[in-house]
Amino acid sequence: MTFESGAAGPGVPGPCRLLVVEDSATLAEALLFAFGFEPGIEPVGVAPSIARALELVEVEQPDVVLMDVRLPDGSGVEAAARIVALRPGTPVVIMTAHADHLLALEAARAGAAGFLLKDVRIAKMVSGVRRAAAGAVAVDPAVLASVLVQAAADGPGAAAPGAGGADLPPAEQAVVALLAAGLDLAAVAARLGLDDGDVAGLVASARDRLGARSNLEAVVRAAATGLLAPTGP
Amino acid sequence: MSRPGDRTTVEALAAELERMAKSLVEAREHERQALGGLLHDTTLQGLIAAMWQVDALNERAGGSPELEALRASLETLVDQTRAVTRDLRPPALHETGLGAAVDELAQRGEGDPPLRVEVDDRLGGARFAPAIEMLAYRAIQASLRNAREHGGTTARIVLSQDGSRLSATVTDDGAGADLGLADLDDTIRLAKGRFSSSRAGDGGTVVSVELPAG
Repeated sequence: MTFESGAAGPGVPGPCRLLVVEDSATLAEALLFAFGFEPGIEPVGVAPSIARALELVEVEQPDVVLMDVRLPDGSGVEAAARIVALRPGTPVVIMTAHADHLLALEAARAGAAGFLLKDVRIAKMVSGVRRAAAGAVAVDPAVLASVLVQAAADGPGAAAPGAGGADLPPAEQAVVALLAAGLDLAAVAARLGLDDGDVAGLVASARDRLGARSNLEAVVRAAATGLLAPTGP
Repeated sequence: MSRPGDRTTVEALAAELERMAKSLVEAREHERQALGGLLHDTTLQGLIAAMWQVDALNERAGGSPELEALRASLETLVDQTRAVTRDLRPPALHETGLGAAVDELAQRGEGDPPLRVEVDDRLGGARFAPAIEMLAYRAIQASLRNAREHGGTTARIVLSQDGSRLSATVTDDGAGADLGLADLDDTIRLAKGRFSSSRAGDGGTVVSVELPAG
């Protein structure tokens, strides 16, 4: 669903409706200030807590949720799981002050779509949101590499006990490998010479087979079952 | 019946003093944690927010050297504030124990150039009273700060237990032994510990702390 919303890609109409979940009013205001200059991104609200975020997800149906990792009523990672359960397909991007690949892996396993550092230039934060809206894995390449290595080392049972090594048809496997290489859905379609709709269908099917709630989680699960190795970037 | 000067009275007073020293250490630690939390939640967030706003203006301006310079200043402030916050709020000693917390401290590599710190932990995961662990940690932290401030490039920390004494020694190659740790020194003494700093044979500094392990 959200992947076809095409909120971000150049030439694709429709603004990306962004929900910011951040308890520091100062940071939230600064984010709104910065995102206010960005064409194609329309902040639809700020939630200072998980409870408020869940309400706003239902009411506003945002295209992307940008969420602090630490909130007064719980962890942003757990909140990501609740948001994708409430409204499947919503990309939730976690913001944190620390480049911690174990936390990033935890976020991926909770169904988050991305993991961004607060220290980066705001342009990176903006591009992370755009990438998440465009179906890409919104994680810094270096952090993603560590995350995938860790996921492969942990194996398939680490995230969901009893999860088997799901197998993917070659086309789906190719799509997941390109997502792992950092491509967004439009770029995957261009690379494989497919329609955007075909790619969306392949991604949805791969996510189903892998039991993943986000493209990031799909990539991590594929890495855990050894599916990325032969076709990796 | 005990009168001032009686052996039992003196012992009781000493025990009371030791108890108070420990509760002072815990109260001070509590305050530091609160201060660190406040600094993190207000100042640090505010600086990051300002950095983001400068970023946004800079992009809008198509890249201005003045805004780049302002951004760099803010970045330095963010780093410094984060370092102070980390100093005030060390990883929970009560969860990890002294050895692990000191390891984390050593691996931060703070300083420019970073101080290389080697830890020889002979405690084997042994645990001590919270106030004792905090005192040892603060003394080590202060020693490392001192080493950095006096041009040290390497430091070596030895943690060991000798019967009823916990001992921590920090040896560095910096040029100063003036730790300015009078209050820490007093608290350590009140807790029936010993604190000393001296010049090492090769010109560095040796700081040594001994505390009751019980």
